[in-house]
Amino acid sequence: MEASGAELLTLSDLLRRSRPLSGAASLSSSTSRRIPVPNPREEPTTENPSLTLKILVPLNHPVVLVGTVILPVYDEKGLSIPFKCPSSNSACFRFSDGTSTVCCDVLNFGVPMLGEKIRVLAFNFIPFKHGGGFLEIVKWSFSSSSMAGLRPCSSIASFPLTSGAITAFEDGAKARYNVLGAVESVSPVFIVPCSMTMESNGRHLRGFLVEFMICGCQLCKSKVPLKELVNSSFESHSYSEAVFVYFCGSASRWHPAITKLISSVVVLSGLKKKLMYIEKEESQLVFVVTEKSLLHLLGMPRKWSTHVKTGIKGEGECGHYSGIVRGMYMQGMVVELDKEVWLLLTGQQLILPHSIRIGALIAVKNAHFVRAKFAFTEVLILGHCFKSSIMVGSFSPLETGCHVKPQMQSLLGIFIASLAFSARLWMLLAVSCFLKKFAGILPEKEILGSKRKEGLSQAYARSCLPSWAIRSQHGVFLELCKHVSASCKCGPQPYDSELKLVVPLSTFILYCEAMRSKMPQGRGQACQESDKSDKSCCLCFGGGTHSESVRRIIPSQDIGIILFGTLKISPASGRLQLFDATGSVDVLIPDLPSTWKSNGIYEVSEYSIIIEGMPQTASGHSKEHHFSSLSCKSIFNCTALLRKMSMGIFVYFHLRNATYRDFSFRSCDVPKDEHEELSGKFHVLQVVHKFPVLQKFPGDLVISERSSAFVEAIILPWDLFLAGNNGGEHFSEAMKSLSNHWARVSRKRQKTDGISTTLSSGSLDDVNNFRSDRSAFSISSRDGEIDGLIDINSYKIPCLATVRNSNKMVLVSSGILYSTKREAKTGSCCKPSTQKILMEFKFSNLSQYQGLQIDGYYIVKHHGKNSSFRFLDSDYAWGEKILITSETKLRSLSIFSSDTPLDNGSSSDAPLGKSHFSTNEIFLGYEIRIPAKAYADYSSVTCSEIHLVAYKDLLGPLELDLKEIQCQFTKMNYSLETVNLSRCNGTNVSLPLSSKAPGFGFPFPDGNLICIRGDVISVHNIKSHKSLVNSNCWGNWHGDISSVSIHILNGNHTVEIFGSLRKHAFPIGLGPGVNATFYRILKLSAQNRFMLTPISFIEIDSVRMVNDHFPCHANTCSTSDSSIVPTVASSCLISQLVPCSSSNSIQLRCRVVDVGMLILERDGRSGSLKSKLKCRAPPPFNIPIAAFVVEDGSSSCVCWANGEQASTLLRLSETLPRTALGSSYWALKWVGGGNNTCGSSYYSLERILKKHGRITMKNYGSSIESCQDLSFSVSSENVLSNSDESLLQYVIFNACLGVDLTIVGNNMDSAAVKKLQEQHSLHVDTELDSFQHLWAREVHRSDPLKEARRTIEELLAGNCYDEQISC
Amino acid sequence: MEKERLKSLTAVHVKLLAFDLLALTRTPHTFSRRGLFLSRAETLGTVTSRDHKPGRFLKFAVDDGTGCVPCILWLNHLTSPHFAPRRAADQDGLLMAAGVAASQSSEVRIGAVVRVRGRITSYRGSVQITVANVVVERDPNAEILHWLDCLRLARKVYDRRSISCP
Repeated sequence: MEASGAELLTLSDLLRRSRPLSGAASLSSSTSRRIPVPNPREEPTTENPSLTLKILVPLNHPVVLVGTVILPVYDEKGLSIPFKCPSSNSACFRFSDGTSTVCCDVLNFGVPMLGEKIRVLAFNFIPFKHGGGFLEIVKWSFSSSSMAGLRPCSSIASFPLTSGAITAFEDGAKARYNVLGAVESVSPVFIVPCSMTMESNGRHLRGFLVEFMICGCQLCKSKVPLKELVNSSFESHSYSEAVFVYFCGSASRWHPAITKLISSVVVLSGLKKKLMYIEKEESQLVFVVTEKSLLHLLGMPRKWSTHVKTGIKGEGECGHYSGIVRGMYMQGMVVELDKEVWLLLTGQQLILPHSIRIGALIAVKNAHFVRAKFAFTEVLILGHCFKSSIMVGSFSPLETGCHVKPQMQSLLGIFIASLAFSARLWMLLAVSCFLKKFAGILPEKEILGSKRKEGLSQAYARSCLPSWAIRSQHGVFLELCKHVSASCKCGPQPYDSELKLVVPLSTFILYCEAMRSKMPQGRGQACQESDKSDKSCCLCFGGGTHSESVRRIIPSQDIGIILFGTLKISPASGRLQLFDATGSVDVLIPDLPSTWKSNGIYEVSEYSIIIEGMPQTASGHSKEHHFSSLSCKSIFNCTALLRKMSMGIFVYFHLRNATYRDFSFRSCDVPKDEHEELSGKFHVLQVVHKFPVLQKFPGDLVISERSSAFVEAIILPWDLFLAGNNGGEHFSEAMKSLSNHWARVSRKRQKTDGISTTLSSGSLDDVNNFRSDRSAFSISSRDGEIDGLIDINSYKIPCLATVRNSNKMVLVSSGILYSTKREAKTGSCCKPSTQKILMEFKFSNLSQYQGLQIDGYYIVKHHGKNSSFRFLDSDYAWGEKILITSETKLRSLSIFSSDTPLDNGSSSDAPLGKSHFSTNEIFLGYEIRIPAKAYADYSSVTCSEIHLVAYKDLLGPLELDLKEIQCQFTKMNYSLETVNLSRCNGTNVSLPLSSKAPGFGFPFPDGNLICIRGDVISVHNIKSHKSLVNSNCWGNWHGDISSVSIHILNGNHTVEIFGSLRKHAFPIGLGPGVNATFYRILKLSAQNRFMLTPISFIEIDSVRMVNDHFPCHANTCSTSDSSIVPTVASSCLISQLVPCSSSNSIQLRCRVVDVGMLILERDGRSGSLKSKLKCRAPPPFNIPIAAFVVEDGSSSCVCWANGEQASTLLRLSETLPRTALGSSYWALKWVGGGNNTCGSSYYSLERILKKHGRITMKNYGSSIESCQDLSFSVSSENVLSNSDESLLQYVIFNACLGVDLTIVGNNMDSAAVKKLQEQHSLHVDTELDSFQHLWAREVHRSDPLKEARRTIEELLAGNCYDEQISC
Repeated sequence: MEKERLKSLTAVHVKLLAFDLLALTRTPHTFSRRGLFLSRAETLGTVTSRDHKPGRFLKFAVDDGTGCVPCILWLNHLTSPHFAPRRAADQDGLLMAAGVAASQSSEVRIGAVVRVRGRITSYRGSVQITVANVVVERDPNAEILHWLDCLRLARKVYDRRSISCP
């Protein structure tokens, strides 16, 4: 009840206070119903802690407002009359009390209140930023003295809809139609420019359409008096026919009131009929409101809804939805209602009601339900179209502001409105991400665009969005009158998963950290926890045990995220990072060219996330680990990470798979003409060693800058001349001209000395023969510029250079490799004169340092007298230090030898490829070893920027020189040396080997510097006995230096490398599972140990997963999850296995002869199968367990496997040999009638698993007799069809037709086998019990050459006694 | 039992060079090599002869450099009385086996390097392999590896078993 002493408050008072508040006439009254609101204490999410929500401050004394609620008023142009509402085109109620007028919304609205004086008994007031405010009337009553306003015309409550003349084409005589029906939908207010008559010239007709559902009964159709119609029984009508009423002119003021009447049954009288052409040849009969039109409210409120309450399918159907606003993003265009329910308010004409605030309970009428299944998340979208309306059921009690949706006339707004609903949400997410990623980097206008120019986000979306995402747009009349789901293009889109998202890096990192927290416990840790007495499976270092970290590789197609950012060297860590305004992540790029563009924007869609670290226990989860998956909320709420980047997460990708985005408006350096840069004379040099980046410490006089790096290189006695000026000509033309030249040379040589065209490398005679014909070379350079640059007496090798520039364009140029100083310095001696130099890279130029690879070959241009390399032209430059600046371009080089002089017939214009000529050998340049498991597709590729192709017979002298240099510097590598930095600062300083050898009495260690390459088994901190490769990595460093112990597997031996390692010398990703090369480590002469020195450099060659699913030994760990077995794999025969209980790794080369049992189950992961197969990811279904009988000629055993290993053993990735199926009647059924281009078993099995979920196969036949007796059982109620069973049989049969496989695994004892069977509820035939059992951790095809080499070594070593592996 | 296990390698496809395989001793039920019982073998070499009777069999010889091993691949799964019981019990399985055998027979061409696995049988007093499956080897190193495997297995397994189980 209203308190009698309530103070009368005026709007001007409220506006003067200008702060959000709530007031009530009675402070003691409590609202009758409670609505759930977001708990302000819970709402500040982990993603955006700055977001705090407060309850509206109530006035501490009873207040009351007295005034009138009126409809909006428009001027002649249809615009809102000057009024302090942020929406110029607003269609909201207004409240006026004589002192001021504000926008308002009313709960329990009734048409009779319009124009009446009311007392506002409870309200919320939200001031606008730029003056004015919004009044939410929660509770009201009529003021007794009220007389004015809209009054019912008669007892059935009739209200005039217009005030005065409406349109020029008004004809009162025709206004005789009535409409009785339920208000179904209300369109937004739209403006039709009128130019039909002179009178209406310059006027705009403002209006909106209302869809009424009327009854088709005789009573309604007959012209009965209105009173009789109104008084008829409500139940006798069925409102099922749609008619449209056009409220135009001053009647358009009724928009907010009619919207409140949705689902109510009302009567409109005094309407006239109009035929409106909505398309060229299609018209629609529409009722139009006239000046005589009246709105009649029925005595009893009647509600009607055509929507039947059913479950939400999410297939684009229309319906009502109620929910509390949990969040509003992108200026109110995206409203979060419930968990992963998103209301999109992106319509062009839509005006956002002010009352939609966080915390409000709203009802969305006639929204489209669309379930979008993106690759990164799955959400329910409420698509707002022209039919949709929003009503507030309860105002927000929170102090949240009103959102004002801009009238989107920009290109971006139009573009968003033209998209399908799922694509709209994606687009809004993308815009949000771009705004955050480039905040402070790019101006907002460049990201969003303007009315005339499209911005970065739109340009990006246009390049990504498929055709289905863009729909044609129509006007309101057509959209509303012909409204079907298809017209809104809101039906289910099966290709939503194609839409990958660019996310801010902070979101990406939080996601990765959440993934890490979910990683199963490592074996070592499990060992410590479960059985402290048994430490056999843990590596022991210095008496302590170490828990092992887990590494997980997640291919990008599994998460549906695209990375977008700039590449740069981190000032803090000196590491290469992908960076945006929100954060940065370490990256590992094996093909990083030395000329890569720092700060360029790269888009990376194909990559692998490598997450390593110690799985945390549940109690150790930090808050961000609740960030379990990528949600739209987390993306909209993303903020920059303020804390340090987490270690142990990095991204691996190839730069060739990344797209360099060149945005013209960026003020980046315009690259010089690469043609020009790549012509002329170049030095050829080989990087011999990279010294770790030096960090400057206070008082350090040696290092002049904060950090700098040194690289030791050898200048080869060969220079390269590139013509460069024919970069534009076709490859074939270049090849042709060069081949003609080579043919002449070849003929001449044969004429001269008659030597064979095949050169046996290493023969000095041959070299002399070659030298003898050096005068035969007369390089026919077109412009003769060579003559002045190349010594006419030097040996020359003509070649063809292909240059891949930063834009992935291929330039072709002819070139000449020619020997320098050969005769001038060494006479006739073959010994090459080489020069060793030290290149210094300052911090600003570390990007070039990062791109260099040890043993890689590079070219650098002769730059004349002012060049850093000018001294190379002098007689002696040994040990010279050269400062490499950003002007110095070091480009990587590879030389391919060609078998034939050249293929004259090659007429293709395609870029250089193997199809043109046989490149049988890559003897110069470097290869990047690609991880075999995760990146199987890439095999071995060169990453050089410049590829030279030369006829192999001419390459002999170069080859000899390189071999000699190799020998010379290999020797150097093996001798203990100190690096003389005497030229650094003018003082003689030697870097002492400061590492201590623990346990030795000698002050300094003694030994040779060598280079070791191997698979890293573990990396540990010697003092703390903790794995260094985990999220707490930084914490394990004591200052800058840490004592580490690294175990690597080199061949069949495990070696330990120990010593002090600087934090910044610790390469990204060093940890179990990587293949790494350790350069210049000290081999201690006293023992077989290796020590890291301050000049040691570690290079990661490849990365692989180490958390294979492996059931640990029964007495140490549970058999359920991933673990690591960091042990050495010993190659042996099956007959050498003995039943035992240890867990040493063994390696077998064997083949499958039978499949004992197999379980296949459908995998719930989303994602495109096509993409998975393309990248050879794990199969699109799961193989929880499978048992194979394998043999190797000595004996047979049972090999248990799961996942990818089982898939390899089953040969699932191989194409089903159709020829093998012959003319059998079932063959076509399996391979889809021969039309299926993807004939691998994956497709067929996935199809079967979709039907049956899980299939268990057991083989009751005798493996010895090769007589299969297969039994299949399925989890579904369906019966396995004959064709499906035949396919499964074939899959099993096909597995036994394979080639030899190499299996790395562990012996299993009977207890482990029993536990495994229990775990999977298996009852395996006892016949298998007689076999030795093995768990496969790694399976791959054997390499016959490698195996043959190993076997012959074994035979020659006389290791032919039948020893039993004691495992 | 252990002695029996050592004495028999009948469940395994032994890798023997042709000269060794062709010299096996026929026993009443199986074959033996210096007292070690064998019933299955694997050989790898170049196809030097080919005699194809469609729907009946494919006879071919595999030369591994030490001798020629006669091989027979039966193609009469659908007609032979030998397969009659299986035809009745598992017709689909037999059809599949017939299809695969027919397919494999088309891949055995003179000059091809093939890996043959099957049962050791005899025909007119000579040892031959009744083919269970035959695979064409594309990698030339496979032949060398097979020789080395035969050497290694003979030294490490077959000879030792023969010695320990006379």
